Amino acid sequence: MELNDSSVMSNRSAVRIDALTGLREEAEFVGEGDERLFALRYTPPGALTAGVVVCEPLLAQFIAHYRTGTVLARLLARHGLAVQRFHYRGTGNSDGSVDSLDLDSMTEDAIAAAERLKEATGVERVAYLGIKIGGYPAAAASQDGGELILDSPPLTGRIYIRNAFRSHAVVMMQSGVPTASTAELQQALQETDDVNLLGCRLSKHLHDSLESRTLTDQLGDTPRRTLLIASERAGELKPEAKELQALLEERGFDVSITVRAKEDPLWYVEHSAPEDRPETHQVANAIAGWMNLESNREAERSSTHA
Amino acid sequence: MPDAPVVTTRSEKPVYFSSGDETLFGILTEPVVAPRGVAVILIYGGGHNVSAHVGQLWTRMARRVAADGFHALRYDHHGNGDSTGRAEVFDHRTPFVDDLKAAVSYLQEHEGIPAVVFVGDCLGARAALVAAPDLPGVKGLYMMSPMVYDGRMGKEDEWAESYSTGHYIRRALQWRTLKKLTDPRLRRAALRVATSKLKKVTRTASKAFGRSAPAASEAGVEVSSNFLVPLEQVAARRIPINWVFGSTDSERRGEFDAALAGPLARLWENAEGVWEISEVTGRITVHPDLSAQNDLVEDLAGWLQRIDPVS
Repeated sequence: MELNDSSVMSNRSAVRIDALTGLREEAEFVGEGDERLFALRYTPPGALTAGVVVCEPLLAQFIAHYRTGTVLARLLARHGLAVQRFHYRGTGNSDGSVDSLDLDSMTEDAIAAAERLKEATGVERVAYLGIKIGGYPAAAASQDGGELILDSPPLTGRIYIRNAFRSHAVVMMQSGVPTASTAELQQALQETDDVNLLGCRLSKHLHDSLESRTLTDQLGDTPRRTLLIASERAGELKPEAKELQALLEERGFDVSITVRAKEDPLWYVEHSAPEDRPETHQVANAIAGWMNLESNREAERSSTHA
Repeated sequence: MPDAPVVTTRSEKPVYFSSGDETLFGILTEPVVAPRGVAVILIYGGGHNVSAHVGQLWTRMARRVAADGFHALRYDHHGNGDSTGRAEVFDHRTPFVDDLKAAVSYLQEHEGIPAVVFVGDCLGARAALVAAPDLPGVKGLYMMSPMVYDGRMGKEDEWAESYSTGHYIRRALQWRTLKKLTDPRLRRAALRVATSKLKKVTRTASKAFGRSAPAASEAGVEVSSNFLVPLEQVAARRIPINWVFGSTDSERRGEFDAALAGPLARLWENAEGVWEISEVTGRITVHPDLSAQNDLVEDLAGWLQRIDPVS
């Protein structure tokens, strides 16, 4: 029996229906203005009660994480969730200039993606899943009635930038390419308005927007249900995860934690197939469980096909 | 020269097309001036990637050439980006050729575009070269940082070349290493490193004992038959090629220049006026510099104007 997917394409969107699972993936450009978002929505067959908007990481982490994000989105949809992914303006396949990309534009894009998800699927309950620095727009966007899932966000923008610089240096050195030090990159940023980090442009505008913010700034004061996806070291939560948990609980957030079996090497592209990584399946199960979707039809079978 | 018109998502549409049992995802950019009936297909290289490519390089290239009347298709290989399937091997001997041919079929059958120009980056350049002889509609190859020999694509090959054989033997005998081998994924990775190292040692030994490797080899320059055979066929059809290197990618460029002076010399002479070599500022390999990316966008547009492909 042939099980080829079916696809339907119109002028501005394309739909793939998975022959095996019935999952629907719809790719489209969202927005009416001059700068539209590239967006991809995953919906399972049947009635929908909740959705997840995925706020991806930035810079080289966007590429390094992308396929894992695809696998995760398909797994979540198999658990019965509607999933909305998108590329921030100025990145990927979206419109816009990287010169205008900053935390505020990222938050606007996350909100626009959530609106599109609600409009297209009818779901009212939406959680924002922020991966690494994607946790910042997720935290800000969820202030207005959303739930929040944070996957290993940096506590401050300054820490994120430092790690981005270091990762660039490490990868270049591993590849035998002479590279600038973190201090030299900082200086170059001040002098030239941008630097290259693993093939991606970090503009001074984005740098300044990140450096001046903390995750606390993004969270606001409204307590909400939050799931932390964290990592352990030597059998204990990593210090930054503990700190984040304490910070959220101090503000009255209802916090749950799931510990990832293995940390994602998010600055680097792994050569193993993302489909094979058990930690992605673990995260999907944890999110579905947290959203009270344990009863969903495909949960147990989801580890074999993505 | 007037600035090229700005192209946005208003001229783009997402597409799906079949490649065997898999469904591939892509974005088709339509020209904003009179269409030439020629599509530029953008093919990234190894390591999991996404249709926009690093730093939006493919997005920018697609929109740039659309301003000059070309269609452009950027797509994900199976197991990459938003396509279906799985991919863990990025090998110059198996460079996702079927996916590229599927992209060509999609353009011909669904969009009515008969002629194509391939833009390939590293492993993508190899895919372009291997696919071209079977496809009569190919009008040009833009080969970014191509490798003339096979392999050295994955992490395992880099690791295999990074350390001595003695280092690996000592590592293999450590308790920590043996414990790691209980993990099936680490076991597979270790096997790939060991295989790569063994191949490297065998190749070195072959040279030392005067035996040629299974590829064209002159004056110590190795050119894989997987590179040479399709290139001879492409050269026979006088398909224009632009060989593009970064100004600081001296190793990759040096290997190519040595090949031109050796096994590729005859082809190079016959290709006068059809092949050219471009250099962009900075680095294309590993992670392309911002300067190289900017140069590539304009270099591609300029080369397309020079070769003026028609359907």
